[in-house]
Amino acid sequence: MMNRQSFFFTLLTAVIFLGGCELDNYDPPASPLTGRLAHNGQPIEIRQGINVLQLFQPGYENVNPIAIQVKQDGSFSSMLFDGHYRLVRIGGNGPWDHIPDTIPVDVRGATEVTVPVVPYFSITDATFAVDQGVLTASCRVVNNVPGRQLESVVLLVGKTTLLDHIYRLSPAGPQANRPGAQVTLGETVVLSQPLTGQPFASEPNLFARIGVKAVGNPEYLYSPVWRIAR
Amino acid sequence: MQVHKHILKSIGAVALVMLLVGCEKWLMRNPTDILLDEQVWNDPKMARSVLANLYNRLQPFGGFEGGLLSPTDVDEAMWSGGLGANNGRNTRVNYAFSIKQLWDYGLIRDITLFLENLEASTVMDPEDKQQLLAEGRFIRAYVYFLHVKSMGGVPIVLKSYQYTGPDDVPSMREPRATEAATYDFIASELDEIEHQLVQTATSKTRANRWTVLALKSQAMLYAASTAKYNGLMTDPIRTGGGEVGIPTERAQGYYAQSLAASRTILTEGPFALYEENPDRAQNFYELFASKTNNREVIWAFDYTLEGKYHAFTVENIPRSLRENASGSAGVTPSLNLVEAYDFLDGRPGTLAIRTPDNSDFIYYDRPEDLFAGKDARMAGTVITPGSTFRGQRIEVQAGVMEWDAAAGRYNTRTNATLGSNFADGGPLVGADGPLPNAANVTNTGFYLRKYVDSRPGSGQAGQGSDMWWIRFRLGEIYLNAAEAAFELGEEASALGYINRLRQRAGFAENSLQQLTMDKIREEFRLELAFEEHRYWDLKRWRTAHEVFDGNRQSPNTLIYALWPYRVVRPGDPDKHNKYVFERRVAPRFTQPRFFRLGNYYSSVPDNALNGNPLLVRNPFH
Repeated sequence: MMNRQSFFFTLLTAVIFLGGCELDNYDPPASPLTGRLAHNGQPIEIRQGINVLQLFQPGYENVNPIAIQVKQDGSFSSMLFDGHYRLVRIGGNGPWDHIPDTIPVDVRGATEVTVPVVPYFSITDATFAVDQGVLTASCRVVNNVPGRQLESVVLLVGKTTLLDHIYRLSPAGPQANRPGAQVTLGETVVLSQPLTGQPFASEPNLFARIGVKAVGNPEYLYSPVWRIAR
Repeated sequence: MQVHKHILKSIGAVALVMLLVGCEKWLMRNPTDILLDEQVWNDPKMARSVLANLYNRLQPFGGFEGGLLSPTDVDEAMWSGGLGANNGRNTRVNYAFSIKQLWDYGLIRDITLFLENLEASTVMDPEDKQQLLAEGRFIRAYVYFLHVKSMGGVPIVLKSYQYTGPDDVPSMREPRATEAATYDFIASELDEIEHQLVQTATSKTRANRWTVLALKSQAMLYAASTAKYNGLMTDPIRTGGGEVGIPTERAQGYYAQSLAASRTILTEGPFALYEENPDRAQNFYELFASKTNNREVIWAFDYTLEGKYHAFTVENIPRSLRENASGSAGVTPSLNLVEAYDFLDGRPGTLAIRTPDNSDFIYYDRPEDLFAGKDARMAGTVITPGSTFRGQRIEVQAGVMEWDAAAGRYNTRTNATLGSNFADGGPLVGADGPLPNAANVTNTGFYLRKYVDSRPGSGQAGQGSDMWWIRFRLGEIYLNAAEAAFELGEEASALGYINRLRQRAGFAENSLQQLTMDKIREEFRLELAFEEHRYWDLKRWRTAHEVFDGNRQSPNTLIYALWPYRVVRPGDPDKHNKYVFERRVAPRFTQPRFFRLGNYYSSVPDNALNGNPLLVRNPFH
């Protein structure tokens, strides 16, 4: 008698435990939102980890935004619930002109969005080459926002593909940094960095990237990363 | 059995009667562990103890308690203590948007309640009441100043709210005031209470006329420089409603207010620069250590060994002097700061460690000779290799340089044991380090002197130090006056103030003939190092994003170390057993400092934004 009762109790508990879960829990977000930053349809590259995009979902009590982590190649992806979102470009954090308009995003399953930005300066025709231990890079710098001053164009060398003005190897050579005053916009800029000295010589893998910085904004806009073949 | 029942019944009846009748007196008793409102607000002594609680809560940043690691947020110092979470201060990629965030409306509510209850009190003597009300308002102005320098404009809440139900909530919402209005509120409060603080006229720890003027001098200077230099940025930081961003044209007015307050303190105040000890370096140290007859101090946060002491010395004392099983060497000054102090003969402060053609070291008989002739404030602020603290020589030596005659170069020999000896019998590694990756040994080659207690026993965790934390002192007022005067075009006057301070530091009279803004800023950095000024000064001058630009090759993004070595070269008596120095990036400091534009104003906490839809975010967040 007693045995049967406790058996039923156990069974009941198990049913409540297992069955109750369904009521309490909901499925994790399953709709991927992917996209990239683009200027005139061309992808642009930045420092990984800068805070440039936020998603808001209106209609809820809390107003905490969902921060979007943008990779250094300008792409991003977030796993979301289906619904209506507003994508905001946070002003001033990226090296581009602030556009205060929000971008409405309807997420229904896999969704893609392109976020247009107008960088102060952009880099075109970036080329890299290594000759006799000297890395030479060239590019053209284009001004997209009238009135902006160019601060510098730099050639960065790092030991990983994650490469920006903070994560890089130093000291840079004198020819790896060109102040804005010495750059003619639209003309080819040639930068170089000898790789024979330390700490470059002892690194088995090296990567290079060109960055361009406008006066007044702490972030750079970059070319794609190039793997240095020695 | 029957009798038994009767007895029980009677006992029950008596107990019931006692319970019901006795209640009256029992429940009417006053509580012995809680003070009632009328007890507190009718007695000036009781009200003062409420005030003491408020005074005790005014140090969110800097100071000796929660904010004692603040110098490691800037280029003054790095963390050389334990290898745990605090080590993140040496390895952060950038400052979080929430750094120096302050949104303490709990404290503001307590201040408001203090003021409201006191105002309502009818029994208290009018003189006591005026004094206490004015002190409460001073504290409130100070708290709003702490907020505005972190956050920009904040909601100015001047009355307490009582929650009566969910319908009430919308009426309690207060939007952020503009940044300018917050500073204006502080100024008008201070003007009103300036002459009401009679009872505390000579106090160094409670509000009086001089703390009011000192706060005005500082707050108005912050408002003025924020307005001016924000306007000069490529993209001035502003929000649509002015919560952030003071109109540039207000700068002149704020500078004038600051200068007027500073001048009143300088001409009418009972203060004098601390100059009691002819040893200029020791004098500068004693300025902070001496609590009796210290005429420089305007307002301090005091400690006493009778119950309220702090562990600042436990955390920061040189390793060889530590009196506790753990701790020591926490905040260690940087070479960047040491080199920023000029030589007294006017040469720039860069230390001569290599020959001019960079072919060899410069050899010194003793490590301390390298620092001879520096601005006395350096030795008063920093313990350099070979200098003395608590009567003991601080031995800082990273190893020996052994000459390899065959190869024609030095080999560096070192060891992980503090106080170890080399094969020749001489010292190898000093008792105070430095070591590259050890906890609680200096990583930069320097130790902190300012505010570290020289009294034996103050490094024990159970006892601690009773040094006081100076919030305002006359030296700072001189600097505020110099900056405001210079900005208002009164260069001669500004030069006088700066030269007076430099004279105390050991420079000749009128050591500077002309002044630039950069020079004034440098004096702020040197005079007020480790006093919780640098971060805020860089912010208000809008230079933080240039000084800490994330570039390893910029002068102050990395913390540099200076490591002394003893030379072992028996063949050359000119060099043998002499000392040489190596400049390097401090090994435990890995990431260059990077201050983003979003750090100029800390983020408003999410719970505040969620609770009050009228609040706007700060820019870049």
